[in-house]
Amino acid sequence: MTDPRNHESISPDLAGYSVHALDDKARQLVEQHLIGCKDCTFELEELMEGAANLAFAVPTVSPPRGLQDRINAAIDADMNLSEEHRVSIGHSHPAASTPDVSLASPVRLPWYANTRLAWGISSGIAAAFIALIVVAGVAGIRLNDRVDDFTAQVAAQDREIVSFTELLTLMEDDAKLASSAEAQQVSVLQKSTDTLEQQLNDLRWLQYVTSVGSWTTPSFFSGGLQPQAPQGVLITHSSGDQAFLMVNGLAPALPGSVYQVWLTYEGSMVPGNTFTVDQDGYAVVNLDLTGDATEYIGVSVTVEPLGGSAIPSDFTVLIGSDQ
Amino acid sequence: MEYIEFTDEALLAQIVDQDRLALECLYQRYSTRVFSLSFRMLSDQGASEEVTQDVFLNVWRRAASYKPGRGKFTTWLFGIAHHRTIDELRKRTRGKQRVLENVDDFLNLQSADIQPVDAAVANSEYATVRKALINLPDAQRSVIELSYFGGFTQAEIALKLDQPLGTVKTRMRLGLKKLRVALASKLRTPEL
Ligand SMILES: [Zn+2]
Repeated sequence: MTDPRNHESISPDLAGYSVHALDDKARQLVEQHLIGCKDCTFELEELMEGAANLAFAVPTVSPPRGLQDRINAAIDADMNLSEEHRVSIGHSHPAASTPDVSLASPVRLPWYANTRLAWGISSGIAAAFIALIVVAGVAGIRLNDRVDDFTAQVAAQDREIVSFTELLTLMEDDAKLASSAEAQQVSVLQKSTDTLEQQLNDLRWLQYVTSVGSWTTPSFFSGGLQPQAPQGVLITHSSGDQAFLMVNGLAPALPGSVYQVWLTYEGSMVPGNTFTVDQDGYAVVNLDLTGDATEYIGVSVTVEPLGGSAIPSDFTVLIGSDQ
Repeated sequence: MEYIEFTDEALLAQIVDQDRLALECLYQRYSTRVFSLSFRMLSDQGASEEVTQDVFLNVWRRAASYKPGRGKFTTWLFGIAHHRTIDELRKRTRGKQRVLENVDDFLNLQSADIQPVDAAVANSEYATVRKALINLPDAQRSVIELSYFGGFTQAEIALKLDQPLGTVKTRMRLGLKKLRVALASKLRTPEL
């Protein structure tokens, strides 16, 4: 079997990967390799750009007029569902006492609330689909510190927006000011504050789940080059004996199978709990550790027969490494 | 609304904020392309509508996962559209023997419809991309067309064309890179 770490054996498959022309085995190897190889990630981006041009090479045919209405209706249904999902999160943690955690923020939903599967994935191929996981560099930062940091940034930017807006009001009469640098700056700031607020919402939710104690957030996994990729967050208690994995966007496991978590330590894969996801592809898994969670170098999720396995199958659906 | 002047990436940022008008604007820009690609590959109106619907729902739901530093919006969008269509195509053809036709000319590149009759057509993305494809060596173009439009895997192509798998891989890689370089500066945001 080809070693996924071998750059020379994997890179010739990038082109096939970019146009979805690999068989499952080869595709998995490429995805595993991409996690650690920046050169291949860069080349893949180039190849995907080359491939995307091909969409322009076909004669155009207009979609029917009603299609946009159907999409709008589907989005309506989607948003109602997210609404219900949010409420149910609140109900399942009635004892949590972090009063400033506002899950009901009207502005927008964090990523985990948007949990409907992007594809109507229904086949076994989907369950075997490996997500490319990109680990954001937040290793070792305490969740609470991060929340404080973001809260301060949002507050500072809000103050700036207020002072700029006041300035604009003073200069209101001058018609030229409508497009002045100040007005533009306000809109730029507004945008950046929105982004910060979304990240803050996500972090507050993690804080909410973990409630108290010193938790670290060593790994945020988000969809990589595949936009429909599942996502995951691993939260580890600083004592090393407790960890949670939150996953989002996984297809429900096929009948007779379950998902299983694996922690990778130097030289070994330690089996963790098995789990299933809800209809939204969402689950929070208590890892129930036997080893020290602060020592792991990677985490993965595979598809296994009911009851779980001692050795991971080839059907990996999530991989994250602590870079 | 002045959304029509927004870049794709700016519209996507609006969509992260759950802005439906921004999605409508992207739909106006690209739905015909997405639908046409799917329709060309599936030859099925209903299935292509479903694919197009899925693709734009995906844009709505996953807008936040688009990383601006990692390539253009269109690369992301057509990546999704192509992948979704390939899934549909493979579902339909699973277990069936597929016949390779038009191996040398999957897109009918030699046919009259690409001979531009006026300047507007000549300058269109359509004509530009097809010209870039015609300029590729035949061997590179045919493996790209077979995989991208035909949905064949590299292994299937190697078997059908009776060529070593390594050769197919190399041709595809070279061809895609040439396409990227040839078109990098040529394609603007379409239908603005
Ligand atoms: Zn590599």
